[in-house]
Amino acid sequence: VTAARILLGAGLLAGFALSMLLPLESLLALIERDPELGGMLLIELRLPRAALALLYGAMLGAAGAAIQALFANPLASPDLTGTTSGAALGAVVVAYLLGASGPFAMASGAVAGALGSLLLLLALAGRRAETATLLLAGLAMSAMAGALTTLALALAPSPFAFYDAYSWLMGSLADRSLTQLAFAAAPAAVSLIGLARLAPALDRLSLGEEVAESLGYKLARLRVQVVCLSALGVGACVAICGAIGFIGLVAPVFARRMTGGHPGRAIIPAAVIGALLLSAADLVSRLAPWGRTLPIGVLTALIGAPFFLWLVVRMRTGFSR
Amino acid sequence: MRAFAFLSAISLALAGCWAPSEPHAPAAGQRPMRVVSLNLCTDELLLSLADPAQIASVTHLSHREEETALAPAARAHTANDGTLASVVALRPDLVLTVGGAGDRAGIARRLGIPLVDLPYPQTLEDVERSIRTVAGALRREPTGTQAVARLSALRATAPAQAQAQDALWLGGGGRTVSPDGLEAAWMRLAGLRQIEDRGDRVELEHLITDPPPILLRSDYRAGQYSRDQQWLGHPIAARARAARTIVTEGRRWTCMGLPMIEEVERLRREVAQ
Repeated sequence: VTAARILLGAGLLAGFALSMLLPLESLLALIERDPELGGMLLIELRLPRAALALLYGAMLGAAGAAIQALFANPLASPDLTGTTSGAALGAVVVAYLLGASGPFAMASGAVAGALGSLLLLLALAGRRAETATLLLAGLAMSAMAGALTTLALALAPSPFAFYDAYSWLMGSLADRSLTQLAFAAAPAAVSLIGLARLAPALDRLSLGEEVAESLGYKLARLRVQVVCLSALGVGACVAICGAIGFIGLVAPVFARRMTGGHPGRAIIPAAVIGALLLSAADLVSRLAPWGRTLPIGVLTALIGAPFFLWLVVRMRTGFSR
Repeated sequence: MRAFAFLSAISLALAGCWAPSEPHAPAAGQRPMRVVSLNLCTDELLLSLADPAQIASVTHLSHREEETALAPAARAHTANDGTLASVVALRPDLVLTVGGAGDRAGIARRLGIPLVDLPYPQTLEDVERSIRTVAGALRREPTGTQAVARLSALRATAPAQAQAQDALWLGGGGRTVSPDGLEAAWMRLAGLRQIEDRGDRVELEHLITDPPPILLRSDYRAGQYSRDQQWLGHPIAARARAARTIVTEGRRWTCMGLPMIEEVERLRREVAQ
């Protein structure tokens, strides 16, 4: 476990360093030509991008682990429960219908949308949802949020709202500023710390609701905390970077393997794995030799969708953790 | 399929409270006098080529200053929402549209309404063809010939390819255009050559590490706060300047039709300075 922690820590540092430095050739050429502009490139462009990749990935991983622990279901994740699509809906309504596209307004709208989605899911699927119920309810939530997002864009005053929103909705970390980083980082940090503090309670919850309650944990309060903290962090990140799928599903599965299947203890490792996955996906999208930057959400979906199918097959054949 | 078209025709007829059997096409050789356009790009052609008395309706988009330079002329005419259903009651004797969404042509044929469905232009030759087609349908061939002659004159006097200056077309959100597309063809008439790009969007990092000699910046909806405009407000965007920035009127690049002639003439003068 210690070796794994050291490896994950080293991976985080490496991911951050590579995001800051690559591509190296153009950075060095710019520093040589205009040192001040080279410094601005590092601070104003690459720092927010590298930090957002780590932060958003960590947020998705941690929220995924917490939601999976809450529903006692390995298929629960921010995207499959409609949290990210709810956040996207909230941000689109605020920005394109109400005309407030500043980072604070959009983050507030996204948090409200994510919160609404999660609360509705809890009401629809129940506290300890069966896999099929959870997936159906999540699918319905995502479909409804997607349809309402399209409706909001169709009713927006700007006839080009679809085009304006498209690249953001596909997920992108490019060209974000330090101010935008701050609007994502503050809520995400609160959410990450809060979810990590809930780890012991979520571990007890995996033993059953009665056991957890007999140990002094208040389950109603725990549910509200997980839902609110997940919505806060994921919503703020979606508002700044758009909807990025599957990291919140993949990272907790690997993390639980490291922690012997303890869902609460898996929150921090899931955050680290999520950060590494998103950082790696961003590097691939920037550096792959196809001559253009791909939407990062496309890359994570291309990796995550087959993984999701693999997970479904494993569950059918008796995979329990 | 036939049943669907039949039902569509009935619903459209009911929407207009109008019998579909009534003939609406103008008699042979006569000018159509109730022409409607269902697309911003055909609005621009119609407003440029038709006698105002011929126009029955244009789309709501062309009523907006942000979308077309022809908005003042467009506002003299009834607005529609770009659907056949919204104009049936006007009893049009000619409908103009682009890229024919759905089965507009089939429905219009069944209703006895002549419809001209233009393809999206890919080249300057396509633009000329569209002008001639619309002018012919309006029975305004001399006006069409004059418009084509203006475009031909612009092409004949375009700076030689070797003299064209490298430039990057840039819109909000880092949007740019293909070096092989119609936008690049209009740029070449202004003496500019669109440089190779990395897709339909440029990242700020690319813009400062490999700055273009000329930045041709679109001012489309520059006064409106949006995510795309927010991109231009990024602290580093102020430093991501080319050797020279030329601002172009973004609304003229949406359809890249006749209003582009004036813009290219203006750009040519500015590039030459």
